[in-house]
Amino acid sequence: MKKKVLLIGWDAADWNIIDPLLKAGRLPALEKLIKGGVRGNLSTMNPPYSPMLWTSVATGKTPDKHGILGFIELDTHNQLVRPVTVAHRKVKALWNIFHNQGMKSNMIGWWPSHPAEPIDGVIVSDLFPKPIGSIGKPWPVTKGSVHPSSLTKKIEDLRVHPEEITAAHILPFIPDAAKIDEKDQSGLKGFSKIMAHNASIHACSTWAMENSEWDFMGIYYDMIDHFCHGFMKFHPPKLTAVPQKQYDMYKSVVDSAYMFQDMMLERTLKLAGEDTLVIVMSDHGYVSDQNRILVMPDIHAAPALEHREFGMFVMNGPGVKKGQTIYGTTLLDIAPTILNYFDLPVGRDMDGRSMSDAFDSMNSCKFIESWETVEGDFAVHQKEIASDPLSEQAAMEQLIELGYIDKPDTNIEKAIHQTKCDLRFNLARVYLGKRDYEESEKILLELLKEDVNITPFLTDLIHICIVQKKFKEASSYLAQLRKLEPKSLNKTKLAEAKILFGEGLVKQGRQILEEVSKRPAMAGTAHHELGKLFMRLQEYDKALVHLKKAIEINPESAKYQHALSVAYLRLKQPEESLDHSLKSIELVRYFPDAHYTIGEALELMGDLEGAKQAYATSEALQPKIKKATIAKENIVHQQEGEHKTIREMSQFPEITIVSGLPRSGTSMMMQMLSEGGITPLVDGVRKDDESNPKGYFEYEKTKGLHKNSDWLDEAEGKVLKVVAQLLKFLPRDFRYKVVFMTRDLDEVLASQQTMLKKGTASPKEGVKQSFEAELKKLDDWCDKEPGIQLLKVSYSDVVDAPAKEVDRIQEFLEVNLDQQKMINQVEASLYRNRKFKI
Amino acid sequence: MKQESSQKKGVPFDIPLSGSLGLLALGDRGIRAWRKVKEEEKANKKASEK
Repeated sequence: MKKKVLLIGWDAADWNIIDPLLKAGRLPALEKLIKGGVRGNLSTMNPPYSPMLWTSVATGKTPDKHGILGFIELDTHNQLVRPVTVAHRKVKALWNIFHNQGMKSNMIGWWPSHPAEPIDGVIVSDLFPKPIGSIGKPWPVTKGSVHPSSLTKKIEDLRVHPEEITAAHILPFIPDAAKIDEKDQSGLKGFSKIMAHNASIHACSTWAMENSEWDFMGIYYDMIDHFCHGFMKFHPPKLTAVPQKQYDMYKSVVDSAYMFQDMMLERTLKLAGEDTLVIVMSDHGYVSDQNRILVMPDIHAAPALEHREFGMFVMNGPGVKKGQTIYGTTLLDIAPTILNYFDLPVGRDMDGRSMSDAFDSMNSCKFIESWETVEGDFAVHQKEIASDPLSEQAAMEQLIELGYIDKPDTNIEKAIHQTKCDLRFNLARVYLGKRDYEESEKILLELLKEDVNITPFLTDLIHICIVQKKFKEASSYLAQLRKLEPKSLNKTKLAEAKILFGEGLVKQGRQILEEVSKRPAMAGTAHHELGKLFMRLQEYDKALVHLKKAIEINPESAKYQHALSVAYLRLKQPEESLDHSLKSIELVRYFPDAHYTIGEALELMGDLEGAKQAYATSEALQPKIKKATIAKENIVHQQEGEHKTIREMSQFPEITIVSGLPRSGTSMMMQMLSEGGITPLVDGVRKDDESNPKGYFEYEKTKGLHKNSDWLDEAEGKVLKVVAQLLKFLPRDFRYKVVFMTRDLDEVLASQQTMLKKGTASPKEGVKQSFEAELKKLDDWCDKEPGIQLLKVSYSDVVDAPAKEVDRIQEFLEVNLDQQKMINQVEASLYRNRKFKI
Repeated sequence: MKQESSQKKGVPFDIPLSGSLGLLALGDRGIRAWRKVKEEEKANKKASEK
């Protein structure tokens, strides 16, 4: 049997609209596909701009790799702003690969696909149906929009002109359209354009299916997205701010768009035949609840704010499972799945993976380093095809009408400059979405120098600097943003709080947090941020309140679900934690942190085998982050390591650390371990004095641990002193055994005062509380870090009963120590500032 | 106006002069059949005006 794949794109289709329609029996064609196949969410990417996303669908690669970065572009001579074309696509699409492999493809209306590439098959580009002028006037076919061009004459009559759209087409969508005032009829013109475009695309697709042989066929419809942008605000349930008259007039447009799309699907499926693998999918969803935006803010590509993070997919055909839901799929998985289905290798440079779990039987996935380096004919354009200003103008006008782009400046130089900046900004946001902060920051810093509105760049830079713990820079960008846009003060309060926490100004940060948390109505993102900040303060109950609210607003946010899962875990409620982390990976499979949290919860529940598997998944998804590997080793050690120390089993070298608050006996412990036989990593820069007559046992580089830890391999197999506050900066490249010295805090403070030669003067207010908070955080940090083993040793116990404590230390460190020499180092006379209990 | 659809096989159905969503959903055949009806109507109108 010859394998065939039909890929149908429904831009912005969303299960939240589809499911009620399915229930009402109003999408029979889609229902049939779902019943005989699989369905699922499809996670989108940021920024969710359709031409970027559909190119990712066709290439399996992220936009930084494929080069399509927005709705518009500059021509290759940088002299013209035009709608996006394939000219800037840097990588091969599926149809190029199939051409090289001797297969036939038909691509109809793909966005972008203009100018049509010379493949073996038929391409009708997205610019083919663009209307020019009134009906009856000459309407030449856009040059380069049909391949092979000899087909142009055969299909040019399949273009439907917007003026051909009649009441018979409009009334099923807007039953009372006749009552619309003449002055309000511009909406109907837009409606007709969308209908005509999609009818044209559909007609070309049915023609191609009937008149050509094909192995792969892709059809792209923008109808649902465009109707949603125009009419979603009128979709039920009625939003309070929408006037009743308008609501009544337009409330069924969105549902009708889906139903008409389903009618077209029925025809397409009939022509495709039973033995075709059919995929119906969208690139993103569309907000349809109370969070719909009635008045778009004046920002770049604002309508995309209504794009929801999950699109949908349905797959049906030979070998596909029946009646199942597939979880954790992204739109990057479509191209690898299709290649795999055709038994062609998937490029290792592709960012998705084959959805083999959607099939009962599937070829094992073959790989190739990259299709980009394969020599041969891939039918890519060798030279640029001249622009067609008239159809480009029509396409530009529609993008402006939809609000996706601003009207370009009449000064062409200004327009070109603005477009260049917009595209660079989009690239920066792609990197930001991929968490490549360095690349994103580099572009944003360049953009700051440009003569354009820099406020969006500043907003992203603040975020990047906070993530990278560059709080000084973040603070400076925040000040700049507030100066340029005073209205941003309220919106940036949480960023300010994060910066304050980062700088250690907990009190001021908390003040802002409390203030913000009292706001009556907040977006899900604000509740999420608040929740995370309260977690940072270890106030998990408060964190729970906000994270639950965030989930109430958007239960389909994987990151909200994960944050709540972590909060439950820290509250030692592993069942609840597991529930939410499982929800998060149902939404987004590629979520290493969520898999890790599942491991932590299962470990806490005693399911070591399950925890090991979860850690292994986390490790596989993100090998660079080593905590999953370490956590997995810990379990293997628990299960199999009866006769081996973890040091012997681990792939990570071990470092012994002595830590504690200053003046808690850390120098004494360093000296004891040194005499016991562990080499200390010291440099002698800090000389002994009357406070520490036997020396400080310090290493200068340790002070800069929060900035640079590259030198830490010097400490391998040795003992290093690290002050308590810096422990959290220990990198995950090692395992650590931490001997943590504890001492009564009043004694610590008194000793510090003596050392600072302040005699009996009281220490600064709040120092004790700050130390208490620091110590409270320690247990949490230990819980979170699988590579840390920590033994608390009381200074007074060491002085009072050194032999017993030395024994404990030896058992903990699992090394042979010269215990007597260690005991000899303890001098009770040096235990000054002792608080005697009566 | 009752016209036979241009499907090779199948049940004949009405092709209204004003078109329909069903015709658009049928694709190339639907559009061409609708255009044919429109052309014929135009020609009839012209003929009756003469």
